[in-house]
Formats: sequence, C-alpha cells, structure tokens
Amino acid sequence: MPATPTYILLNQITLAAASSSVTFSNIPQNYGDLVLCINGSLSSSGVTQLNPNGDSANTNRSAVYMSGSVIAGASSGTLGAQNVRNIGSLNGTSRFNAEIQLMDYSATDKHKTFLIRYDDSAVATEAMVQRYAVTTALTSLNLTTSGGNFTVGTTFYLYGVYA
Amino acid sequence: MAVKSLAQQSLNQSFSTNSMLSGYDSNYFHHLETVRLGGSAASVTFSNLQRYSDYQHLQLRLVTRDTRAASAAVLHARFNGDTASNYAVHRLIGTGSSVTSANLSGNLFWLGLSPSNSGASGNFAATVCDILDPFETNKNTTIRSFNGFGGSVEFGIFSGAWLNTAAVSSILIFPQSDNFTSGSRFSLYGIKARS
Repeated sequence: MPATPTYILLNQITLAAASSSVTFSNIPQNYGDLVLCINGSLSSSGVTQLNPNGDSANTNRSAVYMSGSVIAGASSGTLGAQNVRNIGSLNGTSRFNAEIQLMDYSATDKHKTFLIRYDDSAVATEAMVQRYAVTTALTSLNLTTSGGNFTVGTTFYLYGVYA
Repeated sequence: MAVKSLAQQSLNQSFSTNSMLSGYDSNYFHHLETVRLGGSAASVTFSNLQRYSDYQHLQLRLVTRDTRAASAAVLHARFNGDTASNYAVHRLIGTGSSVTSANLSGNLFWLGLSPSNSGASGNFAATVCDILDPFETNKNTTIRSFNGFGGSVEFGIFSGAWLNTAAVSSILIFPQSDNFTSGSRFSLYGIKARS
C-alpha cells in the first residue's frame, strides 16, 4: 500500500461577523476520519454545541467528560440530556479552542464516536468522549452555541484523514 | 476564502469540487496502512516498520470493539514482540463520577478501552495514539494515547515508554481477551520531520 498524503484541509471558515451557527455541508465521504479544529470565543456565556447531520435533538447522544477547572478542580461526569450536544461541560465567554476527532464518520455499520479536547482559557481544560448512536454516515456538521454567538475572528478548520 | 461576509444569521459552507481549499496535500502526514476486519481477529500486527524509517513519528488511529463477555476490555499493544516488563505506563481517566490515575507499568502498553459483547450494539471505541521517535536508537520510544467510547465506564489519556532503545519494527495490538470484532479498523500513519 503506497503512502498517501493525508490530513487534508477540506474547508475553513473565519467569521467576519458574529454568528450563532456554522455549517460544513456536503462533506466528502472518501475519508476515514474527520478532524475539526475550532479557535474563538463566545459573545455571552455558553458552550459550543456539535450537531452532526444538523441533528439538534438531544436523543441518540451520550457524553462523558473529565475536567480540570477553577470551579470544581479535577472532576468527571456525564452530560445531562439537555446539554448532551455540548463539547465542553462548563459555560464560558473567554478564548477557547477545541479539537474534535470524528472517527469512521462515513461508516454505516457502527455508531459514531467523537473524541474531544476542549480548553477555555478562563474556565477549564477538558477531555470528552461522545457517542452519536446512529449508523448514518455524517454528511454535514453544524456548530451552534448554548448561549451567545461565535465572535468575529473565530475559526473553524475541517480536515479529512484517509484510512 | 479565508474571510466570510455574513449577510445572514448563519453560515453554511458547502463543498465544491472546484474549491481552492480541497485537495490540499500534506507532505508530512501520510497514511501508511489500514487493516479493516471483515471477521473477528485475536490481534492485528503492523510489521516490517523499518521500511518507514524515513518518518520521524507514527500515529495509530483505531476504531475497535471486541468479543469479550463483558461491557469493556482493555486495548493493549507491544513493540517488537517484547513480552518482558519493559513498558512504563500511566493513565488519567474519567469514570463519569471521578477522575483517577494509575501506574500500570508491566509487560505491555495500555492504549485505552474497547466496548465488548455486553456493551450496546454498534458502539465502537476511538483511539488516537502518537508514537514518538520510534526509529531513533538513542532513546526509548514513547507513546501518548487518547481513547474512549460513549457509555464507557472510563475514558481518558494514557502514556507509555518502551524501555528499549531499539528501533520499532513491529506493533502488536490486541484486546485484554478474546477477539476484535468485524468492523474494527486499525490505521497507521507516518509523520515526517521534513519533506
């Protein structure tokens, strides 16, 4: 098997104005994994939410996190049903970054598992694993917030990784 | 297309085959091999890795499930078939109620956990494991792993050092017991220091 250059930048978005929603649609299906990198801040207290295939329902989701924060020290928990789409466990408005690994996103024989690192510069450093319990391939990714908007300059980079 | 002018509340970026950003090739991060299981298997081995010695680092990207009669099983690895107590291993995990850590040093690596037979159908674990300087012979090879699956009893980060300065020539990946299931995927990547 010849070595294949991968970790391909599929698309990027840099906000020139605040926005409550960002979407990558018509995602190519010929990669093994996706990696989504976000760097920005929110206009008011909240946390970024991940809606695969535009699914903003709180069903078919579960999330376990561990957090090192100024609020609770070292902690671990599960996200409640109303927060299960959040990629962090704590609200914040300061500079945050996130890296989301979406493994086997185009597979139709398994549920989808997301590995998430989320860091809010004033609140916490966190790791999380999420399960999206559907076998449908992911063709779009929508990011929203639980409060406020993504601010100007927030960046979203989507990479495809061959497998 | 680095800056978007927003005339609407939401932004929708659709892919185009003519996108100037698609088809961007990385000269440094390469896919080397993938094993996709069409049936169960007791282990997966990446061998003859000396042919990749022009890469500085390796990365494993795994999607796994196993047949153990339990809710989960540990995901293990060994280098060069070494079964001696040459692995220094630590973990930091979240259980959903507490954060714990452990020294797991012994005769194998811990990469994380996989869901097993008693777990929810369709659920697979994700693992991203970096292997640093595997072909340098002046240092021990180190690894770092991030692993988890939804509904797991624990997930977290794992680190390890192989207490041997030999170049890594093979990587054996195996579950705590029993077999990996069909649908499990094992991918190996190389990262170059320079193109």
